[in-house]
Amino acid sequence: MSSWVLAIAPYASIPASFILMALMLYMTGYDPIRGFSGFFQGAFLNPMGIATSLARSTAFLFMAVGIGLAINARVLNIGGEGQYIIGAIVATAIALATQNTMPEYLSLLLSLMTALIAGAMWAIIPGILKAYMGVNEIITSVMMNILAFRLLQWLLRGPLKNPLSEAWPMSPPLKPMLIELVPGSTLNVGFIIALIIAVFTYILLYKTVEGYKVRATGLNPDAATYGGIDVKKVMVYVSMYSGALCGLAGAVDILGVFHFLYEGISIGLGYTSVVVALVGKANPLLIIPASIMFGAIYNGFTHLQSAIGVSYTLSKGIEGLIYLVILLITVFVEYRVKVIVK
Amino acid sequence: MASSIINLAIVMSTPVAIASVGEVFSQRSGVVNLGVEGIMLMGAFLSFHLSYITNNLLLSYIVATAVGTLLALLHAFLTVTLRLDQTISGMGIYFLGFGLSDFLYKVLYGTKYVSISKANPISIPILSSIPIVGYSFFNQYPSVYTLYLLLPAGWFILEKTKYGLYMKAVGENPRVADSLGVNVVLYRYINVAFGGALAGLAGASLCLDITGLFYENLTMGMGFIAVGLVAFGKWSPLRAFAGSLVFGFTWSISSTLQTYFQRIGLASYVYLLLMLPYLAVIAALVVMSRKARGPGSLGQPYYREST
Amino acid sequence: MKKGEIVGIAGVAGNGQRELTEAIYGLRKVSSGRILLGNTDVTHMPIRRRLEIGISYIPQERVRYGVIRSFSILENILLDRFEEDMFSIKRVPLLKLLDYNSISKYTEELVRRYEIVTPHIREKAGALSGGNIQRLILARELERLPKILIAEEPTAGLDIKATEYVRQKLLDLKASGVGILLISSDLTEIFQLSDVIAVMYGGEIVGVFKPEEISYEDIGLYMTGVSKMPRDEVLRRWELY
Repeated sequence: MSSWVLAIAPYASIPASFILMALMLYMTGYDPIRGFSGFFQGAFLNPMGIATSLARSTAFLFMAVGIGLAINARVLNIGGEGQYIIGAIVATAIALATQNTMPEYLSLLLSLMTALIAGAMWAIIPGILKAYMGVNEIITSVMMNILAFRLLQWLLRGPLKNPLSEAWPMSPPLKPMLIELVPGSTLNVGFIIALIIAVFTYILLYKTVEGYKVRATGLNPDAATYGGIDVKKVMVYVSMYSGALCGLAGAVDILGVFHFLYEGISIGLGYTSVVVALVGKANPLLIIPASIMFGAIYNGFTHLQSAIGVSYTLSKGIEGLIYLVILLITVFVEYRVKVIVK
Repeated sequence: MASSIINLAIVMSTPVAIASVGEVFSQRSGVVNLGVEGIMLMGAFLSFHLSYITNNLLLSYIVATAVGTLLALLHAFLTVTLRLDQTISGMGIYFLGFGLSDFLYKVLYGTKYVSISKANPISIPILSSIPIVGYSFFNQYPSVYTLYLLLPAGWFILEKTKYGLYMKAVGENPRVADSLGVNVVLYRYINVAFGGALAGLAGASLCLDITGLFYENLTMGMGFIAVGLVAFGKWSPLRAFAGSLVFGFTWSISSTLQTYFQRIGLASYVYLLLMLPYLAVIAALVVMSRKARGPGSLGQPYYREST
Repeated sequence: MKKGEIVGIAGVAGNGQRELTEAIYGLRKVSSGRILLGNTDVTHMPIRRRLEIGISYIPQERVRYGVIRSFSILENILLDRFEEDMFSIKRVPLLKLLDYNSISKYTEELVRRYEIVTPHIREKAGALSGGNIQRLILARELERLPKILIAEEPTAGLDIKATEYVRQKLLDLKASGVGILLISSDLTEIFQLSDVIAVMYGGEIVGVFKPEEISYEDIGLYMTGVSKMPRDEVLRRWELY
């Protein structure tokens, strides 16, 4: 079975999910055709829409590339959610502290760097616990996600609170710092950074000794140990790498898209990014189109509301279902094919 | 005051404990089910919905348990028959349960704030009059009493019955068990289904006994905690229960402190308190999981022919 | 052990041979005693360092520990040699880029010399037959030019031609000065190849012999624990041989 088929098989889920979406819309009393046209128009058919789609895909790209690297070592980083939040928090804090006192590029650099480190640190705990104590990394990561969210909730009502907004927990506004690629849209230079990092990660994984160690660890940790690879260190390092990228995603979104911190910055981004990584078969180059696809879907759903008046919650609900279908089909197709091949 | 803290602790531990006992059975036969969180969410939603339309608590519990069993059977099919990776299948079930429960709730209830009438605590005569202990343990919700029955029952099945013996053998060394005539596939299916049934029940108990309403991600990680506690408890239902008490107690204490905090004007710090139970779980896992050795075949699919 | 010497470990499986090799290679923690290579104390060195200073290991369970089946033959050759300079391009300071060009050429050469049967070097190792996997591992370990080679059941499961080839290779290595620790359940092999035979029973060395001075039956007595040499006798003979 050629690897080409395996590479594009996940995308077979797209038509299936669209059919499902049409069905859902129809069953809940909305016009599926108008809904679809709104979806596509918003996501693809005009420059602004494309820009927003790409903007949305930036976070997916950062996170899925990181998660994908870790998957190559058989470390499942479910903690992307929490690392994203931590990155956003740290970037907000640093930006607030320095945006008026330092030159802009310095403030930006500092924010991004600390977000990177913070994300890595947040991820290192499940990593170390897995590598050195055999504790399941999924459980600890979920705990860390919840902790990050609670931390966010506290900060928004306490130290990082915007004194002007009493009702809504949010932080004071930040100066936009990332250059916009398409004026007026949320697409910023972060997308370019994400692309560069994706390519870099690809080279790292497949062309360097360190990447070799990562892949060997994932495929056969015993043989890797016999070959002199310190499997535990590898697991910790990949956890840190994916955590760093997820933290960076949070920082880039805060500084380039949202411009202030609030509670709802990440609703399931971390978990969806795992799906993106799987659709991209944990290969950074394949993750690029996968991220763009998910970004477009995300963007398209926001247009469903304006096109046919679907409520926010319902459209979020359908969106989640679509991601789910994509995941199930991806996993099923991939493993079914492998079973047949076996 | 002390007895109300203990009472609340036991209440909060119950969903986690019930789900954890079920997962102990599943894992003892060799299958990890990370989808417990998703199953709990479906169980919670279904119990909520059914209770809202029929007002029949018992029916709601039953449906939740049944659907939990079905979801777990799906997991069993994927992992035992198709031999897919247990972690990925489990996460798939999680996403499925999470997404489906969220979606269905939004479709049916939208943003309306809906609540159902919760179950009432039942007081056991005589026993509940014992100072402190009486109120804590015997003035409780039906699901808590179910847990009280589940624990010794689970222990008994595991340690004192033939079923328990065979099922443990399947988990430790399926090849040997198979050669002795034990149906590995059947035992795994049954145990995974049992785990799912309890997970569904746990979700229902969370909704019907504790919260009285449903919202996205109602379980807030409890399902994952339940799975983690199995390793913490070294695969014994009683020790897993002890672990769930750690969670329950920290929750209870932090809950009690919340009202105090709000009174002295430190309202925002409430969220830090809400972090405590999860920190406690991580600490518990660190302390107890020092390379705990689980059932020999845990996580591995079973192939009849030698590879 | 001496340079250019083959020490055969005879013994029924499960009497400590595994633990011994694991300790020497670095897979097992040593609680007392020391392991020295020349003057270097390797007792607590990580495996990677032991590989660097010249210890090589052919494990008994080859398929599980010796190869990564999803990796290609080319990638498997790298398994314990990825740090070697000849395989990398050193342009970027922190990252070691793999020079697939030179790795390919090297692998082709090895495939030819060790007669590994495969359509091309990018074929996955898992697709090879057991005998070819063995050749792959042998090629990798022997060509590393180790100082010490630990060979566990090196000819198990091989056909006659391959068995002869391997045994000859071991003798060639010995001639070039490599010290070989041979663990085998095949007594003929032990007697044929070893310069010194040590018998292990119950985790201890219970006898040291030169192959010509003991019979199969008698060594069997030591292997089953019936006979046992006193410790100072063991040490004396070891020094002597």
